[in-house]
Amino acid sequence: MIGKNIDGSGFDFDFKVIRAQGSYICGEETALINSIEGQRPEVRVRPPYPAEQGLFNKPTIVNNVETLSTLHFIIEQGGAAWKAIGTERSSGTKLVCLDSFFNKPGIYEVEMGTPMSTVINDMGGGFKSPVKAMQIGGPLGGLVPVSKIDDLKLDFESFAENGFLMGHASIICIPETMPMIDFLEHLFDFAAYESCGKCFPCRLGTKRGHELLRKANTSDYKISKKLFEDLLNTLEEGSLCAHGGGIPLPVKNAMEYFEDEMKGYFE
Amino acid sequence: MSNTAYINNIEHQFKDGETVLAFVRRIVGEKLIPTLCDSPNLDSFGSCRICSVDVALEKDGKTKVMASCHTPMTSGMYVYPSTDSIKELRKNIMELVLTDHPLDCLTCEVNGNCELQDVAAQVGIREVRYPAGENHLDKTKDLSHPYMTSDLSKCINCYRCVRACDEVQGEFVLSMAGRGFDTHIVKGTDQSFMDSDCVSCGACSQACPTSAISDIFQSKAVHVEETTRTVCTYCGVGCNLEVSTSNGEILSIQAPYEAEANGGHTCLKGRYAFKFYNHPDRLNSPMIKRNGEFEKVSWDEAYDHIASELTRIKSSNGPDAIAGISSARTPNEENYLMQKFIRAVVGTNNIDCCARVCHSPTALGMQRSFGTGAATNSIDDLEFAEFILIIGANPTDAHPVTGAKIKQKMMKGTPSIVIDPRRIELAKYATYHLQLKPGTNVALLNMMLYYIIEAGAEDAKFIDNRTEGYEEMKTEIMRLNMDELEEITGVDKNLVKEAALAYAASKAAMEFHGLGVTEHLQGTFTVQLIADLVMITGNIGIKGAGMNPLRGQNNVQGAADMGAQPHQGAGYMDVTDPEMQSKYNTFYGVKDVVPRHVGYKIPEMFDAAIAGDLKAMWIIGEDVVQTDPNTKKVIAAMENLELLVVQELFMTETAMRATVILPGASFLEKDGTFTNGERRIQRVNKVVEPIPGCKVDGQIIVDIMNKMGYPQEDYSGPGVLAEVAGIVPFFKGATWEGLGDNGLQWPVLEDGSDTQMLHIEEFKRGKGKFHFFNYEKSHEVERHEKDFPYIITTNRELEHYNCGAMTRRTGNVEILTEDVLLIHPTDAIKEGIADGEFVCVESPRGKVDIRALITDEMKEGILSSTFHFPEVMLNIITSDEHCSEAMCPEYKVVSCKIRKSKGKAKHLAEAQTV
Repeated sequence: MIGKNIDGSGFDFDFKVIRAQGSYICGEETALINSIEGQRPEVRVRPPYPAEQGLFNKPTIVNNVETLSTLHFIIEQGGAAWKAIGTERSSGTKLVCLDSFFNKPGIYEVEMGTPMSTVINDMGGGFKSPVKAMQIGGPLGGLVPVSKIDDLKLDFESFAENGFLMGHASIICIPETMPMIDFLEHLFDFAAYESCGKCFPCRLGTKRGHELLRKANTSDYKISKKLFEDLLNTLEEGSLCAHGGGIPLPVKNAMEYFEDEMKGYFE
Repeated sequence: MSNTAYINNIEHQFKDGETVLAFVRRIVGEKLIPTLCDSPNLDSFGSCRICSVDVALEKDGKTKVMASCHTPMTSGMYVYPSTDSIKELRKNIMELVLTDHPLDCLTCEVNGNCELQDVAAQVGIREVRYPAGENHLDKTKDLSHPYMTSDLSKCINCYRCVRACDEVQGEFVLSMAGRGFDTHIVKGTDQSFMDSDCVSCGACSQACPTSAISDIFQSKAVHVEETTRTVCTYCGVGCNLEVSTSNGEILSIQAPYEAEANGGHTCLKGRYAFKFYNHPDRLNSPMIKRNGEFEKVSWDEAYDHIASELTRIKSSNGPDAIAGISSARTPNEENYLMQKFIRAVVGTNNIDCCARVCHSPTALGMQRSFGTGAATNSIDDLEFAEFILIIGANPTDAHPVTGAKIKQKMMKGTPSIVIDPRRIELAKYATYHLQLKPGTNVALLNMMLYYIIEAGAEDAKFIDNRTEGYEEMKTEIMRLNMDELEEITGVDKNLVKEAALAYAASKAAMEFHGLGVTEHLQGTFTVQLIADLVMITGNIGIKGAGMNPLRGQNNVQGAADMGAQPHQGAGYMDVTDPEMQSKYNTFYGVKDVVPRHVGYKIPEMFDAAIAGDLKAMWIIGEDVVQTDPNTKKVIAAMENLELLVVQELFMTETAMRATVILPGASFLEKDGTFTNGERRIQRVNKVVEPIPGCKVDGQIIVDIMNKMGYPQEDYSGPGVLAEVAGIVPFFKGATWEGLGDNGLQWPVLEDGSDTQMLHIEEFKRGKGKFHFFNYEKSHEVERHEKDFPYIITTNRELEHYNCGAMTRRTGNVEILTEDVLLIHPTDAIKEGIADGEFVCVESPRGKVDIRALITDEMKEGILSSTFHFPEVMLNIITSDEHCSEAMCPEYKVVSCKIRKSKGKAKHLAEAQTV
């Protein structure tokens, strides 16, 4: 139902699909808005929130495609029907992408509240080769050791209780053979490259984090634990948006669950 | 919702819209929360995060770290600005900043006045624990520009320069490129300052917290001994300047953030074009011309010579054989003294000033319509304006700080009309550009009035309650034929209609105009029609509206206020009124010296000199030869005088023709007050002593008054101001102390209170008066269009000021090196002229050679140029046609023909032989 005066209602609706240029930071709503306006994808301060002043300073709703895709069901069946799916606080379903380490990789629509073991073992058919941890919910998502699979259900509450983040819920596997420091180095490299460069903690902190890990990984340099802790806190508390603010979570998870592997790189 | 919140659990009240940072700073002081990316005149941005604070929703509750600069205060907020963890966070952020900063503070330009240094000290950073990593320390300096410099190895990426360029000036020259750690400042399309579109306003340099962007004067360096606040000498915006000096020498200039006139901003003239003050070309001794050569003489000899000559001429030809032109570049006090000297000592009303050649029609026209010939509102009102109407003004060049404010408004969507024959910068942002033929303002304004009346869009209530003469005006207007006027103006009548109705529909429309209104045959009438337009829509007496002439010279408002005009004395009292005549004579302590007949206006002075009626002239700081129209005639007038005293800084074209030269002092060397375009009387404070050999102009006048037997106390700004307050009614409450840093807007009442807006309840003249005027074709065009088919209209450029005597002796001349002729591509092709070639422009008065700049800013058949450079002497071609009412010359409509030049600068020889 698009176009002018839809069905004689006097309501006009039109849409335009704008193809993004592949910047990760554009997942942040205000950077996305800047980008659509033809500006650098930099994060804006809030308030004003996009709902008050967003695209071209007009009230703007920013939603994921996944959210929009649920509209059809909700319009057809009603909100109550949607709410009846999932758990009390995490209603509906979640699209979960399983990577190529699964026997049955692909995108699954999963009812919220489903045990993660069901998602991983039944839907995904288990791992092809040994996996030591999974990063769930994107590059800012927590790092879940396989030992925690049975503690988790696919909902916001369960992830939060266990010190992880559901995020977009998709799963990237980290094979047994990959040193955790390589993974963290890659993570910081990614974070530094995708930083919009606006706020000081993220622009500088992600870069220095990457350098510390690389130096420790490639020489006999040992990272000061205090310095690394300070860096993670600075990113977490100081960053303007969730990009810099989110990186410490998987790093902290790695430090906690893979302490034995990591401690050799620290003073 | 209450406005109660807590800082460290102590209750305080916050203001609506206040951020956490502003709240804490107001209550606890500026220093408690350090910042790097925050700046007083920029929107909060949130990049440095140094200003982070802990915030809880209940006493000692769970806190969240928030950047205080962009977090608004809300009711019941508990702010903890410096907890241990916050202090740690700030230190850790600073440590990261220092991983990419050259730690060469001792040799850095801003050592001791660096915000980065201050914050590093405040957060107590002692070491950088990170191992050496990638950095930007190898960035090279940019020294390409006569003023702006950069050393981006010192950049901390706070974006203050980028934001200043965007939000303050609106030039968008500076931006960020690269991503993440590679993010870096670029100028233009990654060019040097010189190659970019930078307008050298210096806002970025002032905004930069380090030395990453600075200027050649190193304005943030601390070798300053003293700073003096004063007011700019260039345009009528009246920017406050903070001038740094050491050992009696001026080092640099910044714009104070708390200045009401300019709020931390100024332009390249105010900020950087000050080096003329001690230029080797400065005149430094009185001189008398003997046998065609200037001879240096003592002050006494010069005074004796002048006094005896004036006495001789006065006794043989009467006082009316003597005339004075006062300077709108000098303070009120000096203007007052000059007119007093001419009136009370010489005994004539032959006193005028450059307002004659710029806004005399504004003063006269607005007096006729409203009763007061000055801006009705304040520039700050722009904040409240919902519509902007600009007629014949190019503020981004001629009034850059106001221009930038207007441009910001327009860019943010305030609807607007620009009426101008040129597609000036603001026309590019305007909703409507009515690009009329020069000389047709009256026709265009009549069209606007017609369409407003026709649509019934007038403000009937305002018209009924506040005005008179409406019905008569309406009857005449409705008789006009819009098709005819469309033909005359060359502007689509539907566009005029749409624009007029948009203006009429606005709740608060603010009007600005410049010399494109006044410098015409119908200049005064145009002003009166603008007043009609303002009144018919009720756009006066309310915030964000009114009629606001953009005054040219820094003190042209003041020069007229002080009585430097032949029909009104100090305070605009009519010299022909016996009661006023007696009031002036009594006040000046003379008996029947001030006459009761109106004196010569400037163009009449020239005519009288040529006719032999005027024998002596005294000109202060005004290069009439270069800047008044019809140069050959002005020269003829100068050369026919027996005595020509010129008080000047430099050997101008006029000074060359003087018989006596008196070296005066620049604004940096004297005290006094300037009155800006919004009637703001501001204190000019002496920054340095006059250079050796020069005298403060006010003292020169006092000396000659004493020499001629009139006792006048030695010059001092405060002293003369007190005298002025005794005679000028609207200065009654103005005292040196009372003016303070930001000045007061007249009328200043006896209790010292001032006036931001005029005509609120009623007009000065009682009812506002509507007038009707029919369009009359410019006599110049009527007479000469057949043989001289082009029209040239004169304009101004940002970099230079009027005759350029000052700006051409600064770095500005490296940025704009010459006057050029703006010509439409079609005309250029037709005449076989290529871009950059010299064109011979010929009018009935003479011809000049000038370099062509082909641009579609012009309409076909219309040319434009400036007269900043004596190498061109553009006024050789302008006419002595003038406004029928105020005698303001018609600089804006000059008939001419053009051809490719046969030899550059031939005109100079021709001019000399007249």
